[in-house]
Amino acid sequence: MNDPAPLVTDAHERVRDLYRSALGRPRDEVTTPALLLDLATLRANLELMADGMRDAPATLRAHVKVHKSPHIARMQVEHGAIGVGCATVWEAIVMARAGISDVFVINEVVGPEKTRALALLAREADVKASVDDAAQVDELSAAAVAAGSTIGVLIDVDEGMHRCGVTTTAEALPLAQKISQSPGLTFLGLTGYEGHCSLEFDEAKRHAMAREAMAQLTGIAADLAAAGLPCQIVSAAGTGTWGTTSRYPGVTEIQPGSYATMDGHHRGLDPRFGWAVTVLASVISRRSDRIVTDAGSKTVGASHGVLKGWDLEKYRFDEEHSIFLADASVPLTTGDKVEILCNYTPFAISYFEAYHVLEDGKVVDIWPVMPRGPESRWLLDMLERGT
Amino acid sequence: MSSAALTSQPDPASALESAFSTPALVVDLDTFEANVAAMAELLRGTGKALRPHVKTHRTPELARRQLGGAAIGVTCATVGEAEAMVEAGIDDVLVANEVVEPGKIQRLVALARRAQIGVAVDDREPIAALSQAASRVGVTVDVLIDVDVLLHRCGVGSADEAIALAVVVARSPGLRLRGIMGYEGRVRLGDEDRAGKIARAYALMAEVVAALRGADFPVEVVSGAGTSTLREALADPTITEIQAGVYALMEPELLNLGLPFRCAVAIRGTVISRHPGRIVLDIGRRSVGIEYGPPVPIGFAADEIAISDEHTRIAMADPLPALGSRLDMVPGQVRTTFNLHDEVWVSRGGRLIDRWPISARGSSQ
Repeated sequence: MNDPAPLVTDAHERVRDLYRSALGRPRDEVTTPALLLDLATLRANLELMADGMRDAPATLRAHVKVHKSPHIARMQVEHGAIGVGCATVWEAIVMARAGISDVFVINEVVGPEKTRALALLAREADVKASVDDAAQVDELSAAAVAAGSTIGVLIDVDEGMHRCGVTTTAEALPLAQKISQSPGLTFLGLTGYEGHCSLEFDEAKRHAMAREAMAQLTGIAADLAAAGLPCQIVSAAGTGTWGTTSRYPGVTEIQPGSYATMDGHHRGLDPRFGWAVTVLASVISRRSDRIVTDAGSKTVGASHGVLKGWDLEKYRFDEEHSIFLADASVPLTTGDKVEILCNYTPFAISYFEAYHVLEDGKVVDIWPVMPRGPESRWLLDMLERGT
Repeated sequence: MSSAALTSQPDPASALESAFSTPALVVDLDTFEANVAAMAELLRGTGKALRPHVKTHRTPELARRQLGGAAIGVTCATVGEAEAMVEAGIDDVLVANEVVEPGKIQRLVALARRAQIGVAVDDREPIAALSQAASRVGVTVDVLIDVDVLLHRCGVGSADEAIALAVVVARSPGLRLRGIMGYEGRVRLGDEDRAGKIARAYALMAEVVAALRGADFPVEVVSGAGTSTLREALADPTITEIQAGVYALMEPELLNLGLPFRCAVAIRGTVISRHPGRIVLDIGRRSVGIEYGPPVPIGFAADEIAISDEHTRIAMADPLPALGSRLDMVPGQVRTTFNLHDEVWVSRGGRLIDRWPISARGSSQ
């Protein structure tokens, strides 16, 4: 890994300054609502994944769209990830500037400003993107040629989510041929995300679904190889299916993300990973039958959450408030701090600009969420300026 | 100056177009202004004031354009929002929420040096802390006693509790008791016993007001109501100030109320993938809030809309829009949508004319 560039170090300094009053302070003195990251739990999650991947034939690519944190991404690489997966070209720029050279936008990149950004980034990093349409290939090729760079391209395979992606060899083969003949592009292989499996909480069924998806994915890869277009990379999997998929013959890398930060949904799929990210809230109103906190759907996210360490029934989440039933026997009062365990962490992270990083119950650092996006075209301007 | 020099002048609109990217929020300023004017018309002759809730958009440039006439100041949900509004020059701000952390109380009284600041209370301890802080800085903070009229969230539940708090506020230096607030929340047209719920909420407010006045406490301000209960609030004799905010931008769910407001904001996305019978846009739950339903298509028909973190899958009939086409949809939930963006693009007559910072984005502290 390279050292982080000013884009990242400046953002880090900015949030450290913004939240300097929290630095070195115990958790209970942090202004709320705040996004907390427990460093020990994060490390344990990363080590658990590293252990689990040690004897797997596939490598680990950490998806960063969940946490949008250059700092967490670097730790993932230190724990064995070969690089990162991103949802947007803006995330890829930030991660490359964080010092991670292998960045893969696991998504269709469409629009002149985005292909231009990707092509400029490919001058300074090993950049990959996925496609499911010949028109995208033309756009990427033109952008790479104009920038004098080379972009690695993988074909996106629809493994059952019915979102983006091709479904058959008949669709994939002409695309692979087109990519391999397009200047500025290198055909690298296939990528698929069996996200539909992560809605199945029965483990046996889920893994059977994942194997079915991998049969489709690796089947297309074999067909392409037979046609003279071998796949160097066959990428798939999320936190719900990484164990099976990383050992499926023909899969070369997995791309989970939530294992690092975790949330209620993913703990339902793999409870070995711990809750590293929570939202700190204050009790702002104490009524005889309930407590009201200052963290609602505008901070915890639309999927809401549960209280950590308090077995209180959720009454309701509003935008700026969450309400839990608590009679007089519950020793919580106005001003007390509580942590909320998010049911789906990505939504919470989108609402914050920084993590309060905790170690032994104290704030040891503030890390930026970046790019906050969802649209961060200013990063293209930065690349255009050559800075 | 030669004509060549004239034509080489940069066209600000096309400069904006070329700086645009998706997913992006776009507000149609004509519609927004029409909504603001329609609200002024509704308020005319009622004697009631409007204090638009700016948690709706967290955007000072929009907030400033909602003020004037009966719109005397803004309502905020957080101290951070209040700071952004005062920073933008707005000098009358109500934080319609309980503020209890010492650091936030300090920030609030600091704002009271630059603007008229009001805040809601429902407990003794924060009143004492507010009083101490305000006295130390030498400012006066307006206080409204928060009454739980319907939501079972914050607020006192009875007139007796309100009087007990009024006694404390009245003898607290640095604080001025202005009245009460009671927010009834969103009451949908189809809600069971809608009329009864609203009537009971307003009856409780009237009861608390009468009790406070009976105990010789001043009640100049009775603040409440959102866009969903606007008509009822305008007809209510007790309410003096309306906190509605969504009216200026609107949400599809509220269109059936028959109010003179139209949807003024769109989320604009790009078609990034096409397959038989469906397209995928780069709009997702990390760029649009869906708590009140998925975004609603503008100018195209969708058979089905499925939205995930970064994608919206739209089932639709041929002919499909081309890859790279930009499509607009109305967000189902405006407030959480604005909170996901750094800026809002401004259009008039279909042309981009400006971009404004959502400077209170993430200001939940």
